[in-house]
Amino acid sequence: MSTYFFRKRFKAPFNLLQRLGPARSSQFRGYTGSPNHKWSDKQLHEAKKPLHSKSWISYAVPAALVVIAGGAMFVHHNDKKRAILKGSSQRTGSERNIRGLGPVIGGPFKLIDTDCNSVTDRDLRGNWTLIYFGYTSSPDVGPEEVKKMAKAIDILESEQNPNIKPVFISIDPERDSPSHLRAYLEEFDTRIIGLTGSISAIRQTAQEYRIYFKKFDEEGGDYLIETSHKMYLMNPDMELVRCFGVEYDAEQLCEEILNEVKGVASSDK
Amino acid sequence: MGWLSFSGAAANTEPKQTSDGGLIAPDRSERSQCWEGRDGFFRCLDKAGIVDSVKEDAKARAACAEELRAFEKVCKDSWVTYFKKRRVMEIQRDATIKKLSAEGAQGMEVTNEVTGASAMRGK
Repeated sequence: MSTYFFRKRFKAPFNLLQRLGPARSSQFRGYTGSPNHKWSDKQLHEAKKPLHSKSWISYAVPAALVVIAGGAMFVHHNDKKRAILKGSSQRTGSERNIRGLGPVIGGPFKLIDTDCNSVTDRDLRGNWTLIYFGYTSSPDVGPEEVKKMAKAIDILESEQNPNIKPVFISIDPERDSPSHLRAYLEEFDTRIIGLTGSISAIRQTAQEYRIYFKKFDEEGGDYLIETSHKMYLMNPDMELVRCFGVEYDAEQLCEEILNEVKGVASSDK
Repeated sequence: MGWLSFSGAAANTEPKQTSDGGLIAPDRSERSQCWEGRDGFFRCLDKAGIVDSVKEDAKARAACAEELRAFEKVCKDSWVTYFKKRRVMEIQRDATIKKLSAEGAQGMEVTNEVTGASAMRGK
């Protein structure tokens, strides 16, 4: 996944680099010093001729560097921005265009539940799912969101509405072991399915679901995690339907969820 | 002895390990104790007219010594720091909203969501 992104993202600047390669290669040699260097001495020699004869090349080199640096910064900035905003952008405008047209959010995962059973995205298919990405050491927002989730499930159930499975996926697998996650969630609602996993499995899942998270304020073994605290409503095919931020309360959340579920049900008829 | 008393004092903030390698985060009662400690400290800061108890640490410690000690006793260090910073952010946000509405700015849903999402974004 990540190598794919890497290739895709850097293809453009890299092509550019190859085009301007001969002019740059002399700089490269200094860093790499590798015998398997892409550009042979012959190429280098040929390249040196236009370097002297055509002065524009001397502008092209710094220009290319600026383009590459700019590109890298843009990619980085865009990533950061997308990680937070991609989901919330779904709220405005064409709310139901996400399936197919919007960015692909979600994907396969393999995590473990609080009883250490393996759970994949396939196991969640067939039901509407409300997924919250959080961590149990969250000082205030995390517990508030889980409380909201539990309340929403109560409301939905009291209105005799389709089974919506609440799922908590930990973004702190280092501390949130299955047993601890169970103890934490039991204080809120035993119906919430807690998922955690290896660091790499969680990282991959978070990437697929565009969940931004970052450790900060590390002191000794303790730290907090900066994250956007998003809740996702997934349809029975595990496709993202809506993304909810902390600004929704339990009642609003239920209303929106019901609109989606009923909307789909009525359009199916 | 000195070391023992140190670890005794820190026991409150030191996370306990679970049998399967996890670290136990504060449970519901510990969380509410921590929030109460925080609220007590913040009430004192309000009275003393202190917004930023990180920057004005000495002043805050002098004015609200007891409340701060109580706060630090029931909350993890990382939470104490987090709540202190969050207080500053929330006060600034409220002041900005107040200022804007005094200037006649109209609330917009989009603005609301953006500020809500980024400014309110807690941990």
